[in-house]
Amino acid sequence: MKKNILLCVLVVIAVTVQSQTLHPLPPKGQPGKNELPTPRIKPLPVKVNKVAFEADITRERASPGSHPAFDAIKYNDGNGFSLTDNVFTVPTSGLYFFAVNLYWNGYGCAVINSAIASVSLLKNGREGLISVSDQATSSRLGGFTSMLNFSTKLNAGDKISVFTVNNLCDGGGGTSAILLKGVFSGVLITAD
Amino acid sequence: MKRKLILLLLVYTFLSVKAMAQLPAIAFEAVINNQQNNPISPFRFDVVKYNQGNAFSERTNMFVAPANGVYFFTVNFLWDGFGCGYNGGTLNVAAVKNAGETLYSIKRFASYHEWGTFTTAFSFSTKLNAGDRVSLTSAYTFCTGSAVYTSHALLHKGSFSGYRVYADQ
Repeated sequence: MKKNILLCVLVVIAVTVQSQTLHPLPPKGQPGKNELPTPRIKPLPVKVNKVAFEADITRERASPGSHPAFDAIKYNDGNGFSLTDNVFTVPTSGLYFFAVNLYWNGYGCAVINSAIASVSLLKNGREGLISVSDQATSSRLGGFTSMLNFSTKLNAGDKISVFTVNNLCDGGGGTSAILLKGVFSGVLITAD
Repeated sequence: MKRKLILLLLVYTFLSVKAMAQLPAIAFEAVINNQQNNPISPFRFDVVKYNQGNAFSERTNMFVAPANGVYFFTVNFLWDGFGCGYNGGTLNVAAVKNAGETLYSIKRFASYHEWGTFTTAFSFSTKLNAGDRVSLTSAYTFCTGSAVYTSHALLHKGSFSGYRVYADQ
């Protein structure tokens, strides 16, 4: 009985060590004198599996330009989002979901004209992933929203940014739609 | 000696099982099947299709986060604008945290040319603390000009679903 239990413990320890050995053993042979022997158990590479962020625009921007600047980070698990360039850099390869929600009014445009707001998600600064364009006619210049929802597979190092283009007044008579506030969020759904 | 070994084995087994144990899944879907002529905030749902982890409260029509973590939600409403007759209408559907903070919102205007059915739909992820409540409200839902039949667009159908992506440590 005692021997059996001892055997059990040995088996369990063996299995544990085996499961932690992620790298094959180095080939047999004598290491050189100045060569350090390869450790049998290598440390695991650090992989961040919990990635989620939300960046907000909390202050009104009369001329948001093509790359609206975010001014607050609500949470940033995995530290992918940076306020210095307003870009999310993918820390872990996998399937991601992004949401963009911008709130506009058209008071920058003359009352008789309509305001247009187009919003896109860009990958690595050039590839358009998804875009939405809204036109607010004169009767609803008081407020309208842009909403983007998108999931995509990304590699570590890919950069995702929000791009707004053609925020203009139809027929002239004003400068652009006014960006009141905004949200840009993302989450790693499944890591590779 | 024998007892010690058995104890050791038990402790080891316990630790292994604990390490392998997955967090309980949190997932729900609540739907509106019956037309609501004057939807109130927060939206009242008719049926809860599934409610794994019981995080959605049928009594308050709110999702209550069971633990700190990141959650994903999808919102979809199907409207009928005939309540406003020949006038246009504006719809605003918002996901609100703790009855005060707007997380995401969609504001949509539908002219009488579009009356019939139209949708307000969006998805989002957000980080919640245990006890945070997420509900759906409808503000500024009104007819432009004078209403013909009711003062609101009619809510045909709706769904509110969500799940937990991960829990914080």
